[in-house]
Amino acid sequence: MAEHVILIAGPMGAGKTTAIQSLSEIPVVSTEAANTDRATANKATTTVALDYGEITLDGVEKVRLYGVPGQRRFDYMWRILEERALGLILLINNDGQDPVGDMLELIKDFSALQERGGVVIGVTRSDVQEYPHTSQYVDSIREVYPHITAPVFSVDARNRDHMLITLTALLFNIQAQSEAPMEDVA
Amino acid sequence: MKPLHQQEPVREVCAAALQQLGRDCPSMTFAVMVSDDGFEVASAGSHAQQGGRLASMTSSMQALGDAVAREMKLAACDHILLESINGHILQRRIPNHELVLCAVFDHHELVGRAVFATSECASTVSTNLMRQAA
Amino acid sequence: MRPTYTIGFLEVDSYHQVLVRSMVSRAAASLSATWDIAETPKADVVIHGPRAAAKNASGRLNVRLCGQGEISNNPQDLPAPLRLSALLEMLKRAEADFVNTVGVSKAPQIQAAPQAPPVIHETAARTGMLILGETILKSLASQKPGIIKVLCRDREALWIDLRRRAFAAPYALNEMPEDADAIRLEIIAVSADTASPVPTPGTSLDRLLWHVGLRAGAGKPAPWVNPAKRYKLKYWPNFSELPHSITHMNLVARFGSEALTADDASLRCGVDIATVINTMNALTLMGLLNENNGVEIRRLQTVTQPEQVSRVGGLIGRFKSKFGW
Repeated sequence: MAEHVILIAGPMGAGKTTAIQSLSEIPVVSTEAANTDRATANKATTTVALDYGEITLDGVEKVRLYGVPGQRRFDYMWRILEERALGLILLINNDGQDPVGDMLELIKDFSALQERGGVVIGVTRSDVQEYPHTSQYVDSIREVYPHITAPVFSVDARNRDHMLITLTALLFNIQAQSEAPMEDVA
Repeated sequence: MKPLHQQEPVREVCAAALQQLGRDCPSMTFAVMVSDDGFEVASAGSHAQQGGRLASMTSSMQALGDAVAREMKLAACDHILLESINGHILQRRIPNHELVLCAVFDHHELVGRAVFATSECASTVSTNLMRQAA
Repeated sequence: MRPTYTIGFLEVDSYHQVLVRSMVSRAAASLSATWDIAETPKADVVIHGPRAAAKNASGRLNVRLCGQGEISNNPQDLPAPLRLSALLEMLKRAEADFVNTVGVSKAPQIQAAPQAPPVIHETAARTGMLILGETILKSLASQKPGIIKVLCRDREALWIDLRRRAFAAPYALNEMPEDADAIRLEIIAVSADTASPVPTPGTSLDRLLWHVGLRAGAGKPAPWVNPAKRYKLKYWPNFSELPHSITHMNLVARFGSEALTADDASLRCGVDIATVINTMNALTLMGLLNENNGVEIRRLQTVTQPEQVSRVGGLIGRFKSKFGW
């Protein structure tokens, strides 16, 4: 049975667990614990190991969706889970303290996966906090990582269509990047 | 209200219980009490510098244990035992509190004794914290 | 035998490139050589934009396009606004110089792709959508992007505020007529304190540009797109806010990973050329697709990660079946 692992990462409170719940066709396996770090994200629980969901294709082939904890102190889970991953959906909450900085930092943290597969950015909670606009995320990526053409979408993690668009863009991007010829300046 | 790992009375109760665990089991090399979401509340033993990392891992392990138990329609995960050639690690939820104990023992310790000693420690912490809250 | 020479551009805006191209095409009968558009470094005649540095001159003949309102005493300069007569005179002068200096016909400098002869794409008819797209593009490129009022038959006005890159439509964009006669445009000059007719926050201009761009050429290249040129994606459109198909996503991903002509993209994605050109019209109008000037991409016949390609390609196929894309 073919399996494809997609990783969903992002800061605490970005909507990773919700995104997996939107996409998954099975009840999501979650590892939530009571959140004592209310200063970082004001929510009751937080993921401390992983979230897991599945999309089944053709009856047997599965896309496995793994959400990793947002806090850096759990980064061993990032390393464990990224090994088998095909690509990365990076969710960034627009109402964070420095959402663009968070994104740039996480792209660096997952650079091996980005280079091997690909990354797509989903900006959440832009209904709550209008700025920064998605164009600022795009400009920052182009400035710091000029070799990456990562899709940046504004998404609602509760919206299955949004999350499917994000996942599909990731797959197309991985496909196009892996078929692309080497660039050679004439 | 301050998070558990920043509440001094909670830290004191946990630190005292961990010290006692070390006295009861000389083969205990390190123990840490962590909040459910992986913050160190107190620790004891010779590898204290590793506490932060082990605290996060304890939280992940406990949550995975809970998830597996839930998946198998069992009750919540009470304790997890990890055995290796050079020793074992036993982690245990503190009844009625969002805390997890993780204790590392070298190979001199009998598993049964470690299970019993950590159970006693967890029970003591739970009782003392309830008493303190009252 | 009729000689073939080439024209290249250095820092010349798309509008003037299109203008030169269409003038050359109209003047073909008056010229003794065939004139094609080529990659700038290899062109016989290089037309420089008003702000291009003279030290970058690379053609056998280098001429400069004057800026708006600029008066030049240099007979080599092309005056603004550009007139057919001035361009024709310059090209005839070049033809005479080249014959005198070389004395023989020169081989064409544009190398056709080895796999297939170049496809000639007809240009698009001047529909309402095309005129609207051109107007927005020119206004955005001007010093003072202002307000555009779009009147469609008996409907209320659609307002575009280019300063805020936002618009307000009193009806769904799909209800907008596409023929030229049904749309009337008014460009409204603005000062710093001109109030915006678009309520805050308005709808993102990208939504309108995507809609207009996809329809502007009806399968043929809009004037702001040269399908023979290679284009590379600057960044992805925000697809969560745009009505799109899976084909659009596929094309965008391809243009993101390599510089492609319309024909290349059609072959790479297995998509009909009309859809490719419509998508290019839209992406270029949105400023997301750039001509890949000065950089050539070496064509490789082999894929770089064949296992990954077949794995992901198969996965996308099964997603298509599952979700009925």
